[in-house]
Amino acid sequence: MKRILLMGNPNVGKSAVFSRLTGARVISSNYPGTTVEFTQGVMNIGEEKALLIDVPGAYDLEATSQAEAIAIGMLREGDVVINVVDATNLERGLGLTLRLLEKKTRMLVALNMWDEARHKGIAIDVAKLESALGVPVVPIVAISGEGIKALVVRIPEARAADVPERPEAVHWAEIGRIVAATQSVTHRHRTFLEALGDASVRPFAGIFIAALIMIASFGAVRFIGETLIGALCEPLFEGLWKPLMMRLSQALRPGSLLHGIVIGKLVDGDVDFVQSFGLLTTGLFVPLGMVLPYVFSFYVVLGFLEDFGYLPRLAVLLDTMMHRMGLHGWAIIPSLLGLGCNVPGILAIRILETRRERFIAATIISIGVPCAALQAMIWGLLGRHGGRYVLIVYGTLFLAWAVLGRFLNLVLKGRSPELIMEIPPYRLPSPRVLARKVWMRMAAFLREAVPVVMLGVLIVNALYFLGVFDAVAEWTAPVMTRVLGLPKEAVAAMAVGFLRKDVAVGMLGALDMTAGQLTVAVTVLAMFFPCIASFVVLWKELGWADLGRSVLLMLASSLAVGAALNAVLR
Amino acid sequence: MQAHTSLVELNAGQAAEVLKIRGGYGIQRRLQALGIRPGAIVRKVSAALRPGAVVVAAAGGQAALGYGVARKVIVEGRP
Repeated sequence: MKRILLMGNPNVGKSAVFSRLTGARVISSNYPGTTVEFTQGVMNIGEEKALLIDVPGAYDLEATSQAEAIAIGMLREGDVVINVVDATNLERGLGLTLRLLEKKTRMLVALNMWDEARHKGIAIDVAKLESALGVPVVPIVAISGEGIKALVVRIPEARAADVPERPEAVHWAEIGRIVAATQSVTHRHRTFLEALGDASVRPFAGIFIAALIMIASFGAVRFIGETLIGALCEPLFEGLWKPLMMRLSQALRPGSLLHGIVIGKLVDGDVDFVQSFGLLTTGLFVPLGMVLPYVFSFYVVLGFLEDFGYLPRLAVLLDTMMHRMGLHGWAIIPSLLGLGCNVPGILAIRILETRRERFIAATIISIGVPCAALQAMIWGLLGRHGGRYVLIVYGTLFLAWAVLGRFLNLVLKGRSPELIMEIPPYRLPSPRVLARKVWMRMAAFLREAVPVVMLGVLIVNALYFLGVFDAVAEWTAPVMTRVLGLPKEAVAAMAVGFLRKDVAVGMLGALDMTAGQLTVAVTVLAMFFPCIASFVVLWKELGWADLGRSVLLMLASSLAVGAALNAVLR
Repeated sequence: MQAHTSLVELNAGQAAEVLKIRGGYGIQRRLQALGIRPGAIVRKVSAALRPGAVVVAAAGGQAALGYGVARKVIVEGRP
């Protein structure tokens, strides 16, 4: 099968083009660096099938980040390159186009965001550009699908042009000449979105806007999540599912082994969805009734901010703060992604330039950034004792995140590279694209999390049955009770935290603890070890040695923070 | 008339011509890709409080440069 590569600068819509051509679902956003590894899918060109590969964005053919290195490495393996260029920024895009042409790449150019260019008063003479470059040029709008058919039809016309290799200065002079000959710009008044975009990076207005957006986002996540739980999940589980489970409970006879696995234990003769711990009770209720509503609401809000183009501006505002932690502003984006799930957060660190930065970023995400599943459980269980305790958990985790970053920056040799990042314009998110993105992320949660939750519930029952937890509890009792002030049984939840933290919080909820103890317990649980999915990704991204160092930091800092919290809250 | 300054000293909202970039090959290349190269006219959009990042409009788009990089971009203010 022929291999076709999609290449272009970061944030020109390669992933959107990929979705259009293959019908496959991939995440696209409005900030550079959404794609850090390659995705491939099959597309049809007439009767023929071809393998289409979505390559991470690159500005030229010399690597400055891991993601760019991946892009360049892939160039050798492609038969044809579709070079995606942002029509609103022809000059920047042609930088890569000419470098590709110099390498005698068989290629054609897709001029994306054609509609936005028109709105901005930018007119590009496509025919002239074609003859200047010597390869086909097709204007498209990937988000709406305009021009995609014409692009597919012209793929067979892809060819290599005769372009000499030029030194840097001549290279840009040549691009300047091409742009001047093919593009005309009509002056036009600044739009509201442009003015808002500029205000978002101004020192005072920007911080005000950031605070507003953070408060509104947090409020929206809580509101949507709570509403879904109150209006949909609780009634469904309590009204419909519970009577069914009670009947099943009678049929299986409480006390039997099967009853213990499927229903769990009855609390005051009743099924308790958090405490019963059966496969069909807690095993379903935790992921679907407590976590999924928040996964949904978090990704709706995050998706909106991503597609609107807010995240790079937040990165600008936080650049100074992030430098104190040995990172630059862009590094806030992986931490924000981590609030949904740590796995994509840790994957996103690939765009950072140095191993030092990647180590710091991955470690502080694992320690200080609670995923949506963990947060949902914290709100659900600790929230009952009052918002004050939830606030303590968030405050502590944020402090741990910042202090640890600062600490690592001071002790690790080397310095943090500077921020050099393009700032995309604000764009109104397309509801269709946003909905699809939310759905993909929810589907990933259902596919990957629900089976692990069920498995977790099963293992918990087995280990209790075999008395393993009791033995471990005796052994770790000094640390649990004296250092952290928790009941010794809490160690079982910490161990299950390695599988899934939401299940672990559920187990903590079943223990008889004060609000203070629960606060200490969930904070330690959040910090002390990554769940298995994050662990595997950390290992792949950092390697064994750095993973080992990172894990040591997690254990040490979680115990220190737990002990301190215990001393304060006791 | 304004003497040669860096992007850090330039006033927000002001346009300027890039004269040179006092940086290594890597930084030069990355800035060039974003439209910041000798001879180019850029406009400073804003700066965060020092030592914060600077946002400039160049080549039809905007780019954020950390303080350390912005200091290395020598420009001449244009009215």
